[in-house]
Amino acid sequence: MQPNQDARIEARFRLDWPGFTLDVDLKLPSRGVTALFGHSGSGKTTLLRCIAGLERPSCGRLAFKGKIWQDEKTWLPTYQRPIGYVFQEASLFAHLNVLGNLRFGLQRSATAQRVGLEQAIELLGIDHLLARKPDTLSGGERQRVGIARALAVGPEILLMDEPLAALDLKRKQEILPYLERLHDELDIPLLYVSHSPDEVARLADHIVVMDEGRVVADGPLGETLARLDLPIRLGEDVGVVLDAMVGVIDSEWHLARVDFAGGSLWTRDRGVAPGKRVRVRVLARDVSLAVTDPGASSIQNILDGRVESIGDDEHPGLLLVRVQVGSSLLLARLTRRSAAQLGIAPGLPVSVQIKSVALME
Amino acid sequence: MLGFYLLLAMGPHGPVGQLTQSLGLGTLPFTFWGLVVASVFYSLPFMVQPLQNAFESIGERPLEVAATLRASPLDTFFSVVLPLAKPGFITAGILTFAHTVGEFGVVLMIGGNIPGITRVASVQIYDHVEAMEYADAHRLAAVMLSFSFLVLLAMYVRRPKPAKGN
Repeated sequence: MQPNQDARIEARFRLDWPGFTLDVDLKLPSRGVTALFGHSGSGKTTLLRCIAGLERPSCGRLAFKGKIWQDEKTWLPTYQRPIGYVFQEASLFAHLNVLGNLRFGLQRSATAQRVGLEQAIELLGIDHLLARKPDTLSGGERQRVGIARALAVGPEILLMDEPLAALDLKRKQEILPYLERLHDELDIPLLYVSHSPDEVARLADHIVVMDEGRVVADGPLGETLARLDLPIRLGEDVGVVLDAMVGVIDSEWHLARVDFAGGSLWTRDRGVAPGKRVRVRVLARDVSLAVTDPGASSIQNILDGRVESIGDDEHPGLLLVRVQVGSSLLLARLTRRSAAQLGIAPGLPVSVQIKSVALME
Repeated sequence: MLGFYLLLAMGPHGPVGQLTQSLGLGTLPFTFWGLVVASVFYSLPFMVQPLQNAFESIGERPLEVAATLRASPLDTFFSVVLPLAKPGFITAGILTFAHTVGEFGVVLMIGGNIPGITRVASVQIYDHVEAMEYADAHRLAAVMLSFSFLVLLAMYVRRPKPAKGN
């Protein structure tokens, strides 16, 4: 694990349960969104609950911005930690209406209102729901209230445990823009537990990959996703995320050009204004390599690159090839046979053909 | 059986009787407060059961949520647990009241059927029947019947509505 300069959250836990052991030693950045990512049962929710004080590990140390929350002598109970917590199910208090739920924590919080009640209501777009009872809300609305309730206490860190997992795709699409707003507008760190590579690609700045109660990878999102030795099976979701900016809109063909450090890609125009910063996700399965100029092709995005390194893929017939394009890295999934026939080796100049690009605001 | 042993315990030589005497309260049998104490024992399970169910059905989650919203455990008990258990308290209260009104053996044993002090409705019906006053017995029985019907109706109306969604 490389030392992290602005690491302000130090978490070291060991927790032994029958059939499960959590053993982590982490330094997390004190800004931006950190995704705790892993398959179910990997311990990511347990880690989050340890940070919140909802689980009490047998031994551990937790320091947040220089303050000790837990060590051999200290134990700060959950209600004294300056956190906001969003549960997987919104878990609103059934005996209170929406405003009552929002005010519950607010009335008890002595901390400065870094995100006031009104700002929380505005951020999550729930001002029309305030008088309603939780059982009259849709799942998506309930979760928005749950997020606003956690923000209204003025937390110094926001912990979110798979806030979208209990929702169907439509509700997810409804909430994701609000989460993206949180990412852009909050200046507190956000820990986001997820098993969805798509959510992580959209929201995270930093990623902690967990497997069987241990941290198996940890680092900035782009760098970490581009690693060939990521010891977790992502299947079809292997790919990289690039920071980019919308350059030109081609209104005749309904395409948008996004520029990243290393080149430009054309993608479907999603109505994002030129000059806006976006993320693009390029999956390894959508990237193919050619050693000679492929000539006329239906693929619009062809970039010049150079093979940087080669790694194993989950299937013995497949390889992952890491390609340097300008200062960016892309991953390409190839069959071993085609790699052998093309003579793919580190340093080889290649044409990188990208079949599809997902644009994320 | 319960009435008999309660009578022994609360009598002048029983442990409870000795305690109440030493506190200067006299003995409890054949007094109104003796009836109250005996009825509390007799109906306790009808109070405990619904309350236990109500507390159990709340689960861990609301307590955890309250803790993340800065509520101390005591605060959580009063501001979250009690309000959420309210239907349980109402059910328990109605059940216990109805059960106590209908009891017979224990009140007769402890109360002793003293007119104006420890004579209760259920014992009164018994007295009417003993005295062959069937019309009075019928009348009182009808009152009791409609009372229990009203209680059951109240419980049915107040029963918690099934929660929608999650």
